[in-house]
Amino acid sequence: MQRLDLASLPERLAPGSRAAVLALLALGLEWTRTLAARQPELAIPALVGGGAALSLLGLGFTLQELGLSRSRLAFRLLGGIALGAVLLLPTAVRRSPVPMLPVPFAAAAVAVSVGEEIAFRGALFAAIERWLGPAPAVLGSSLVFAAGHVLSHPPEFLVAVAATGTLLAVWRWACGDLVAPIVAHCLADLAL
Amino acid sequence: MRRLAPPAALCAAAVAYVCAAWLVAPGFFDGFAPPAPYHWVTPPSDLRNSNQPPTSGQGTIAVQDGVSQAGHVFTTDQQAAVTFPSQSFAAPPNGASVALEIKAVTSFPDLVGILPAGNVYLVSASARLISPIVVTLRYGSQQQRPPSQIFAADSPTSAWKSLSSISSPVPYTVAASTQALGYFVVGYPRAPASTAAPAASGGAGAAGPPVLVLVAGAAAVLVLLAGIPLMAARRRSAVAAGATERPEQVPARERPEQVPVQNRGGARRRGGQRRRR
Repeated sequence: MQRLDLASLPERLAPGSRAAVLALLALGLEWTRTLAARQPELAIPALVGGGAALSLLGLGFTLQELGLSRSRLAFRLLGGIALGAVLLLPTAVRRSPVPMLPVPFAAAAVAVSVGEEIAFRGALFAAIERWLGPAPAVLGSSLVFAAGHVLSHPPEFLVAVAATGTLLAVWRWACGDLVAPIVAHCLADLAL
Repeated sequence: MRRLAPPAALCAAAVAYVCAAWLVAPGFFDGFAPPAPYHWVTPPSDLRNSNQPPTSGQGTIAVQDGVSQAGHVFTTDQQAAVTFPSQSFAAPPNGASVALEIKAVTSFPDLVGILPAGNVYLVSASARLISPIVVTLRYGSQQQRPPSQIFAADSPTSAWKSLSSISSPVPYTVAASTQALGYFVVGYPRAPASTAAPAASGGAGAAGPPVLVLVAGAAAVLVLLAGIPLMAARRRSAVAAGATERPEQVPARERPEQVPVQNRGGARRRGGQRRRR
């Protein structure tokens, strides 16, 4: 009897099924961590656990497929700082600089940021791109990203969330890079 | 996307993001949880059935070597908070700690010229305040735009005055620095009947389209400059990998192999696709 290899399980699915499963898992994890975080005593564990669980969606993909190659790392990090500056620009222009989050929440914010990027711009983007191509990958990953924030954001913010997802996904497509979106997402979450 | 060059797509996405974030104040934020319903002392008529009373907050400020320590006290419903650096309070002569309390009150100076957007909170301490502290208040209602001011009154008989607001990292809150304890409320200066509701300092009305155009342009340039080295490297890799036969002309699902241009090894994926065939 063949052993069940969890790491290779995603590859056994048809591309469309794989993308659909990843989208549902990402949505489920986002909504679950949001609901759990409503309990004050569970806020930080839910954020850290949710971020870690989202990161697991990258299993079954190579680092290159996720956009996590270490080549030209300096450019990727600089790109992340620039993208982060762009994410913060509308707020910074209209308000004075904001203080950083308290340390426990800062660590949780980093965990969630990394998890969301690996799940949405990493795994889900790669799965949709393989299935339908880059444009649906940008659009699909951004829409699922916005849907994942339905429970955590007021409705009027969802357009901005979707636009954020689109910007990061376009970077992922144009530069083949996920390091910069991770850095940018962390910076934005830490500052806002 | 097929015909849209990566640099153009990146610029367009940056501009679209800035425009979308400009529509909401303070801009994009990736909050962790939706705001809980505001707890009113005197709820609006439509919230009377679901309203819960606001809670208070108490804290003890340690005093070490005659210096009061820095800290943060907030109500348990997190609608009001006080943040203070060290040496904010005169240390009691016996070295005892300083008690600080925040509570929503029903009795306060008349709100002349103020349209409140939340409860009035009384902040009191067992020691005298000697240097500025920061009061942060969450607001429960918005007129046309989020409120941008905190008003303060030192005592039940004193007049309200507007405090200079400072940036608050928490959505739906306004923060201000104050040199005196007493009554605090977030709200709007009550406008004359012929005047529109005030614009928030962070709202789009405070910085009109010209600023938006500049910010969008700056974002596009920034993201383009940052992306050029990686896009150029990606293009060089594609050429070197012999991927110049314009694979985007073939629908994705019909491509025999969609190996990312940087994934020149790609043995794992190719193996996976062989299995599927």
